[in-house]
Amino acid sequence: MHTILIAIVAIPFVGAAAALVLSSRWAGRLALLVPALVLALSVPRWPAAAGRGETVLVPIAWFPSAGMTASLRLDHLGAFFVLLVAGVGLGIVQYSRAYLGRNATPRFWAVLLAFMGAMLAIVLSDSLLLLFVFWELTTLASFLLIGMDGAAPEARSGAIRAFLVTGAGGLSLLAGILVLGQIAGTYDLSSMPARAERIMASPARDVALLLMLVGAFTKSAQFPFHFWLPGAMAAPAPVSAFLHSATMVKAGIFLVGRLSPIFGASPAFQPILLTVGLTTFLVGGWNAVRAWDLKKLLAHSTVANLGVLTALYGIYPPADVHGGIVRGELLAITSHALYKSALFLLVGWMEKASGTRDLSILKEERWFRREPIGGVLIGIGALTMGGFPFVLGFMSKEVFLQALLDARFPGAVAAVAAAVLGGAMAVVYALKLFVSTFWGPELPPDWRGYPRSEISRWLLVVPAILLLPHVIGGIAPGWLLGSVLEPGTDWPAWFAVWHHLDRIFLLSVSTLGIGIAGYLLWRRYARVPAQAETELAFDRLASTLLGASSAFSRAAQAGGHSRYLAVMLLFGAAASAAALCEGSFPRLRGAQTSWSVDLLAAPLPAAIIAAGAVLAVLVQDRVSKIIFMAAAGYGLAVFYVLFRAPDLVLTQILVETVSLILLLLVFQRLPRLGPDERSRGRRVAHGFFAAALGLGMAVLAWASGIHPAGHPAGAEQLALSLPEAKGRNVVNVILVDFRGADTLGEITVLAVAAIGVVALRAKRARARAEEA
Amino acid sequence: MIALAAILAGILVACGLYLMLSRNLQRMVIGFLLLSNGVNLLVLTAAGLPARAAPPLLGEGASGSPFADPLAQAFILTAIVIGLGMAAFLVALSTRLHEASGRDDVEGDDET
Repeated sequence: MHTILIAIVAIPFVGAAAALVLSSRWAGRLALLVPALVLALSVPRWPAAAGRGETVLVPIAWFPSAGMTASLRLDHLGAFFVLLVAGVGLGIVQYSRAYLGRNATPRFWAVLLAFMGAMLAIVLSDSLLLLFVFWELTTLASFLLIGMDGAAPEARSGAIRAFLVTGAGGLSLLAGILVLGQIAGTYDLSSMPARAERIMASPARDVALLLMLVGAFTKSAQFPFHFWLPGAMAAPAPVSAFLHSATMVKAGIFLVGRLSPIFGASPAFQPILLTVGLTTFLVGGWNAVRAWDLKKLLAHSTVANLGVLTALYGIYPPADVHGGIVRGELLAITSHALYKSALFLLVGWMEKASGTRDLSILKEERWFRREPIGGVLIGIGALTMGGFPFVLGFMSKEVFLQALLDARFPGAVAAVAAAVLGGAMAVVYALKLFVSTFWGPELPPDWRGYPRSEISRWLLVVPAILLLPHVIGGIAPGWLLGSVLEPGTDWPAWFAVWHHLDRIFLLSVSTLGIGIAGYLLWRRYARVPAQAETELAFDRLASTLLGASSAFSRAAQAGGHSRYLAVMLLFGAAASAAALCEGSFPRLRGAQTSWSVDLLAAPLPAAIIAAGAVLAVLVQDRVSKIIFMAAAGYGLAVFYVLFRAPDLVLTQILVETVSLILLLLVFQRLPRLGPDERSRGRRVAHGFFAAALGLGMAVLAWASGIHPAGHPAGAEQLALSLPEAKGRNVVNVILVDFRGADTLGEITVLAVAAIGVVALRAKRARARAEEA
Repeated sequence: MIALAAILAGILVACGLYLMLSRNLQRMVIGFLLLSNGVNLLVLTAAGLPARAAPPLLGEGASGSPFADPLAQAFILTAIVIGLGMAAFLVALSTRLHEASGRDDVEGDDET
């Protein structure tokens, strides 16, 4: 059982990796195998998960000390999504093979499979952190899929927009997850409902809720984040179909479902979902009514539908939420996923057959005469989209209306009105999609589109299969819902449209009536807008942000070393100042003072060091500069005597002498030093930076020097030097014994530097030889 | 004593950095040597110095007096040598650059 869950998550990714090394044709075949395998593994689990409500938990440790797990879980909601993703995915893959043909590169298959795998992993994650990882992976994969045709500006901007919106939402989700994890003390979804009281008691609860909802709303294109989804339809038809139906946008709905058992008791939870959902329903519907591009129409209708799915979670009281599922939710998701993927695929076919998907052209042409099969299929899809009777969409709409009528919350009347209005708009755009596309006055021309023999039959077969459950569900809803989708739940007879005559029926009929009237009005008055699309405020915001960030990069990454160094210095100075402020400014109490006879000997070398360093900066002549620098070094050697460091004294004198000779010899070859090339302002600024850091360093050194360390490592080495290493010079013992590896590193650095010097010289010798 | 050493370390660091911020390679090399001396003194100062300390040579000095911290000294010994290696490499690099381009400065960002 555990292996099955892990396999479901792993198979698509293994497939994706394999697809990269295969030829395009074989990668396509492999892609077909992946969802088939997932289905074969998950279908047998469905009765247990759905009917008996069994939950399988696979605990996987990830980072136990931080309470992070990578646990997986299969329950009713998760299993439903696995079947949906794999089922629709299977159809999408077969359609893509037929639709894209040679344009489907191995990379396309790999990304598609990874996308599928990420979605499967989201719905199987029990750990919120794992969920987040795959959440971001879907963002990334969808970016690559939408922008597949990188040459088209529409695809580029659509991909970037989708990436920015859902990526920003992902960050918000991460923040929310972290807050929730801190409150609950766990990141495991399965342990959260038991801690709901603790979560509810925390003041940070609503912060976590809002952050996570923003993540869910961006993903599932809820108002006001809905605008990225229509841009995403720049992807090829099968990708749009997948993105709009089973994957990506449904991840947000799934997350809301997962959150509902945890936050259901929060007073903010339901009103937010209901308000946002219904607003999205209306906004999406209105945009779909206005759309002239068939794909755009479908994309806006997806937005509207997602609004309904979100609103459903906002209607039922927490007690009616079972395992993250509310009544009718699975029905609505299934219905939408199936008809929407089918319609996107059919519009893809229509574009091939008719050469356009522009409604302003198609509405003049009678395509049904030439393509009756496609026409019937689109007709079924449109019927279910508009919520007409005898198809599954009707049931879905009725459940929604019933839920709104049964609910007891303030403003219920307004919610019902919004639902009727939104439903009527769905009727309008459904009729647009079917009637206006197929029943124009004139016969279609022959010169547009591909001849029928060049269009694969799979382009119609796959949508037909996807639409099949709609017809079955329309005729025998009780069986499909009561024994397959939500076993154990009771579906009363009012589902059958021909059986009842009550408020719901009246509302349904009036929705249809208003919708049909609206469609007739649209036919009469709608005009194709002169300008296709205006620039979204979001795009302006995005380009402003991009401009600002590149201006910042230009300022911070100017390319000259002095700018980098100055930035580092400022940061170092700020960091040392912060360290001093935070770590309680050193108190002199308990400090060691060494007012000893040394102090009498100190002023002379100190004066030499200070004068040497300052003069090395001030004088302009090169030789004097070097000599003053060396003077400071020799002064330091004397100072080391005061610090009781005989080895340092010797080494310092030796090294200072070598570097003095080196600089004096080599710098002769370089041009004479001119005056400092820096402008006056810059010299002042650099002097300020350098002085700031120098001051910081001095204070830090003083503060730590007068406070003896608690357990200096040196004390132990002093004690062990004689018995362990048989050495009396402890510094030497440390260098060659206790910390011998450090010395090895030092020698390595010297060797590398020496090799570098030799290489630079050798190059010069070669260059000279060539000149000669 | 510690305060004096800290001030000196600060002066060395500041002077070294000021020279290193220049675009001229000779100034940079001199600045680098000053800076490495300053940092060495900084480490030594930060380790502290007990009153009446003896050098970390066992068996010498009055019994009972504390020793100076040997670990800081060992670190600095390593650092001095590495500093010399770095300086040598820098010097070789700057002469090579001069031979190749006839210049003794690196390109910088334009003054803004």
